[in-house]
Amino acid sequence: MEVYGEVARENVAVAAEAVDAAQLAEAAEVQPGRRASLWRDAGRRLLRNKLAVAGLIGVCVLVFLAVFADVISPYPYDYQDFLHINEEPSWQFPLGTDLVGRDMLSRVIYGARVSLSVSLLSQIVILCIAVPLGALAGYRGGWVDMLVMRMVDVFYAIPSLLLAILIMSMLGRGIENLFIALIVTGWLTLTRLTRAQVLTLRDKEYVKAARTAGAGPLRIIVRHILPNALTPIVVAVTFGIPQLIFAEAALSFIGIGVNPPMPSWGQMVGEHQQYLRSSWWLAVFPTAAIALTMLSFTFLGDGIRDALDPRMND
Amino acid sequence: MLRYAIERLIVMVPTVFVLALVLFVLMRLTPGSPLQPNAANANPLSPEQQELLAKEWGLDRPILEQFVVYLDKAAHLDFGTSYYFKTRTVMEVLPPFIPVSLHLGLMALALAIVVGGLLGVVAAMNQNGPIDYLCTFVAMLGVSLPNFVVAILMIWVFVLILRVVPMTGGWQTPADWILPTITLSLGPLAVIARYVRSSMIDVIRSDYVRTARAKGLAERRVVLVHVLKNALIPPLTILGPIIAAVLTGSPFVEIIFRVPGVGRYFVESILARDYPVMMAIFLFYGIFLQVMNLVVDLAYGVADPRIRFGGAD
Amino acid sequence: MTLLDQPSTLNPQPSTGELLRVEGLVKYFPIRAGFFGSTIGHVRAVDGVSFGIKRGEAFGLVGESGCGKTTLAQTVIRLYKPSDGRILFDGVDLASLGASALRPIRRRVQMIFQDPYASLDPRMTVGHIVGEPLEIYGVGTKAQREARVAELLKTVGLNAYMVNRYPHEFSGGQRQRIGIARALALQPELVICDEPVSALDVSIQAQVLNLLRDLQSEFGLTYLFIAHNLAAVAYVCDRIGVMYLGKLVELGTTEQICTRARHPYTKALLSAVPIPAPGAKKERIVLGGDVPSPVHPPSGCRFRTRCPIARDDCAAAIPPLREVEPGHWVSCFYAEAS
Repeated sequence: MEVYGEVARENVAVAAEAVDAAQLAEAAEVQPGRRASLWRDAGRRLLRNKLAVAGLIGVCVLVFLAVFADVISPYPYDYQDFLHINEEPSWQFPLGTDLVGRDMLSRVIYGARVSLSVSLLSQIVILCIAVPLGALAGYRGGWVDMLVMRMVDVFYAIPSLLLAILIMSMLGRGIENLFIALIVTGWLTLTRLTRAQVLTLRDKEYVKAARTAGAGPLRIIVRHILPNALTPIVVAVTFGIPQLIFAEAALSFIGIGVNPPMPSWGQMVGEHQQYLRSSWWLAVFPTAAIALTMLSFTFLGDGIRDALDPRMND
Repeated sequence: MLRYAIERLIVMVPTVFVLALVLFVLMRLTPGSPLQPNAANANPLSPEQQELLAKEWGLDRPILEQFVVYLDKAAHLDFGTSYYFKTRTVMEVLPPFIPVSLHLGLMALALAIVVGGLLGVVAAMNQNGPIDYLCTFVAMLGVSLPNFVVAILMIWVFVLILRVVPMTGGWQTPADWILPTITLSLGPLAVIARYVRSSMIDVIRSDYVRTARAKGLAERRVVLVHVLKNALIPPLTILGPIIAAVLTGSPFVEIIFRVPGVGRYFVESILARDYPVMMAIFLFYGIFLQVMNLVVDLAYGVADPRIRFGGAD
Repeated sequence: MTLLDQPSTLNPQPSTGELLRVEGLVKYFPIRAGFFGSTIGHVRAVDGVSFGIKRGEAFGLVGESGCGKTTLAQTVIRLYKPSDGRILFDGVDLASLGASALRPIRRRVQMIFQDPYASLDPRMTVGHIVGEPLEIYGVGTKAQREARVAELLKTVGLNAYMVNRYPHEFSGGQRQRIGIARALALQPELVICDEPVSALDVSIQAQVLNLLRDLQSEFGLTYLFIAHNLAAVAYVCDRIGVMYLGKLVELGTTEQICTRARHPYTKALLSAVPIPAPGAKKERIVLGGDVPSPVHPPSGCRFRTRCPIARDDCAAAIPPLREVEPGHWVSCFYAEAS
């Protein structure tokens, strides 16, 4: 997991440079009358990138499945058909049934809901904690900064997946505890990133200009610093979601994630991996769901990063 | 340089201390210990027997006192008795698992560095060619797919469908090593390939390489002398996280491939709430990681003369 | 460290009608090193500077880059907290004021920045940039503010329809005009111009200088004008102070400085100004060596390491600023000798 974190950090660093590059590129082409918006240009670049579009479609499908799971899935996720236990894929059960006669297709569809809601919600909470915290540390400096950064250092000393495992084993499994574990382990990267951004932007002349114009710290952070730090934050968030999906799947795989019978892909894989030889469909379909989801988010994330970084397009 | 190393070491001490303290407190607060016989996950002994156990293991004393005793013992590699294998100490249970995990980890690391490095170099030399796309594709898969997903797909494809690898389990014969090693190495391999590729491209585009070409050096000499020497330094920095990834990735790989290593034992100890074992493994991971990061940072400083350790972080 | 132990460095004496008076201003920056960030020394950016500016006057500060001019400007406007000394604005000492007490003062002191590419927020439209000070102080209604922004843009020579554009759509000179419009928005009394033209093309510099001069007479502004280019300062300012390594070395009216400079450093600066008369002959004084580090400035007179007339005793004591003719102050033991 740390490797994935490292890549995300690398991506973020690239994106941070991208902002400056984008501004330079914009400054270079001074065309009166043309309202060049960084975001609109980025959107256009994103749609020209085939992999990114594939990722976008994958994510859209996923969201669709998650939102309309009740309507789409042929059976409720906990409905047991005792006449069809551990059956191969068939027309009636396209992905087969599990060891207690539940339809795998329905469980995989509901799994999308669990996966997405857990990752999105915890990412939103992380955003609400990490950005203000990083901004505060970077802008105030001094002992506040010292305290926050030492905390970050201590957390970085433990691989985040290990820490999540520790928390889950302490709190016991369940979706609420899962949120806590993901948030406690997930705030580091974004806090660090926001702090670094604030540190560089804080000394820009336009921030000094705002200060001489009488702007207070809140106004400077909200109106001048955060809008200029938005690009790397957006990239960090896009790469953060698949990491949270992965963390949820990994914890559920070990058996300390969501509570059964709530369907989680990771849990399905973990429970069924030992029956791979006799009943391959039990583990392979949830595995494929995780793989496709992770790939979609990675493609989309890469696409967004590249779209916001015009230098990559030469 | 020496000053930097010493300062880093000094910082490591409180970090490890805080890590140990947090772990210790969290473990003791966890429901299910003999001190809370009525908690949800309490062990099934009678309350009286649990009181006795608590006394024997010193769990009835103030938590800070327990911590100091624990630290003192841990410094002498005494991590107490396993709650699960009740007659054996942690140091009796744990060591047999270590060589297996080390063996698996080192093989995966070597594979990742050699293949990842080669892939990155070849991709950069053939920028936007077919090999480059292959490299990008493999890197994408390796970075985005969790290793338990890779493990399942590996078994499904190579053992069950193609039948090129025998169905195994355990760690006896070299045939047992193939799939776990490949699976564990894929993530780090992808990251290394990516880093090496981008580092190579940066160097290839640099002025001094252009100069080397312009003065008529043979392409092979340009690549060997000027590009490789400079391009392979930056990827050194990611070896720390790579080692961490191999470490934390191993539980999943070990579970799926039934490898009797530390990672699998770690997960089993979590499920069994075997706190002394969990503490020992967590501490071991934490310290190992800190030391590795320090070693990698220092190696980077040695390899790149431009890095000066005088500046603030 | 006693900074006010030499009363003579407080020169020149306060006179009536002053809007700004800087007394013994000091700004040190700590140098941190190592993993723990322990302080190992100080950059003495501004080291005991005193001067006064009368209401409606344009006062210039010249000196090489790195001599502490910009730090001085940013300390006067309290972007930095001074290490020592007083900043009296209309009788109020800004040096010790907290953020809330500074707010009403900030309105009356505005700043024009050096780099027109860095001083405008790239994510804001021109209208927002110029209107932001008005918004902060809650001046008028939204419509009134918009009208005021349009008027300000017209004042600095830009078209009012440009309000919805972003800074990157403008050239350097236009951007600096936007910066000037922003500084004027609150109708300040004192405007600090920190190298307002040095980042611009030479062809644009004169336009912006003219604009600044026109604005001064139109609105009765007081300027603290900072530049490394003596010609630009002389063009705009009534009086000039010359800075070297954090200290004032000479101070006088523009005429005194340009025609009767006494300090060898001022003379060297003057000799570098091109004379626009063909065939005009001039002795060029080329200073040897580099500016010493402000971390370890030379003992005694700071200029002595590069001074053509330095003698042994220049290392012993810091020469005080002394009045060589009415209103003309020099910090050199041998100013008359050259």
